[in-house]
Amino acid sequence: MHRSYSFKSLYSLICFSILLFGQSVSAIDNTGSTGSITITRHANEAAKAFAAGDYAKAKDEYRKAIGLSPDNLEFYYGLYDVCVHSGEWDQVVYALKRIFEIDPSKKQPLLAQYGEALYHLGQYDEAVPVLKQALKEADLPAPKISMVVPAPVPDPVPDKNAATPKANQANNTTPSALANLPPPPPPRPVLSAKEVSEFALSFQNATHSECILIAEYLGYDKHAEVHYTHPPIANYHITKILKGPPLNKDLPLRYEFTDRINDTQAPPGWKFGTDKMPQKGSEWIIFIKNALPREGAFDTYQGSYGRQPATEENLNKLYALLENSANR
Amino acid sequence: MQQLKSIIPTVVTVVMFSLLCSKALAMDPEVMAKKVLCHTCLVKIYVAQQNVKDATTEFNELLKLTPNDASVHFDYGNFLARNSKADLAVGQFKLAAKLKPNVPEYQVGLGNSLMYSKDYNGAIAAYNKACLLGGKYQDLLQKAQQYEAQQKLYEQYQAKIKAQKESE
Repeated sequence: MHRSYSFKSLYSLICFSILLFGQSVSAIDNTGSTGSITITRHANEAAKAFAAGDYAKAKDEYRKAIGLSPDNLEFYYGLYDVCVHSGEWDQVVYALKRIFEIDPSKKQPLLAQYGEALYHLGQYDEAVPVLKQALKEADLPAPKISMVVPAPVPDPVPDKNAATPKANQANNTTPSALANLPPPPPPRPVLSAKEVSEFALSFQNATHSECILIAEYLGYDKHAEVHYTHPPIANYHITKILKGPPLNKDLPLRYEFTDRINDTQAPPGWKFGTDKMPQKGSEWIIFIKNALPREGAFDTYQGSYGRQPATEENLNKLYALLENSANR
Repeated sequence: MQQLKSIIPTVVTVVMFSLLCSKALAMDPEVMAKKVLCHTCLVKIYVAQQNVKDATTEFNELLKLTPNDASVHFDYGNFLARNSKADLAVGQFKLAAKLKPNVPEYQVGLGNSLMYSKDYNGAIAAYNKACLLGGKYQDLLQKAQQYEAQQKLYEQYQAKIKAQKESE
């Protein structure tokens, strides 16, 4: 009798943990419509920042979300709305152009907004025909597009009281109903530091960068003092953009000497010299995690790892990864 | 009485028909907003380019869509005044001031255009209103009063000369 009682309690405990685990997983993995936690988090952060009137942060978050999911129209709508409010009309034009590229059917209903943005940029010769065309087509039936930043989704707050009824529910569940529950997922293996660094410093992970391009090294800014932890600003010329927004061809990069994982300290006797810099005219694959310059220069993905020589092998590897991610 | 009874169905039909027509002709607010946006941008572009002809056309188009928008009348008034059409500007400023009587800038616009039209009494009234609404336009008011006084003196002088000529 005692044995059957303890068996029952153990059974209830297992069922209870299954239910709780499922609950916690669903609360954390709120991927929204994007299918990715990170992207949804960026989109939500953007909406929160917009609601708080912090347009700069909202724009940054949308740019990050766009970098991770470049074909999601919602993010361009958000970027549009944020930048209309902040008066960054070049960004408005960029957002609208991308919307038209992704879905050409959106051009007709958004022509007036495009014309308005061109007017604000002072591009009158381009704006006039666009605005006239918009007037001609204004009466045509067009789908309604909501170009506003959605309301932010509140963060899931663990409810202390919520566990009690769930526990009761679990205890009251009949064994036949529990038999239909899916088995709990196997525990995830804990990665070692080496495995983590290997994953971080891989092309597979680097291709998630917002911007990937091929650029030619031109030289570096010799006026500033250079240390291992105070890298110089290197100047590159973009020859091809493989992923991300259309950046200016002249690309200033913060030329870091560390990949931020393995060689964070300067090696003994390290001294900066031209031998630490690449050969002028050499071609490089550049991974830029966030396509927004910081203090006048872009940061590469994982510092020195974000600059890879544009060899045939590296390019083949990169093209294969980009193709796979596009087909997904 | 019999005649009145026979008229009623006709009146009802006419009223119903006009109601239906007005509904059908009413513009979708989104289409309306889009058109207003386009015309506003075109107006600003043509004004910046000093293209008077196209700017005038666009102002008129915009006013057809938003006849009760005081700011459009005010902008159009300014545009006309800058292009030496003070007489036409007066009308636009009057409409702007009528639609939003509590905006001192509209009264000043009206006062300025009346000064150009040499209607100093009207200008004094407009500047007075602007000052009463809280605007600091006393200098404009003083100037208008001086002009008005000068005009009166001139008229008196003209009358005197006329009287002298008649007596001679």
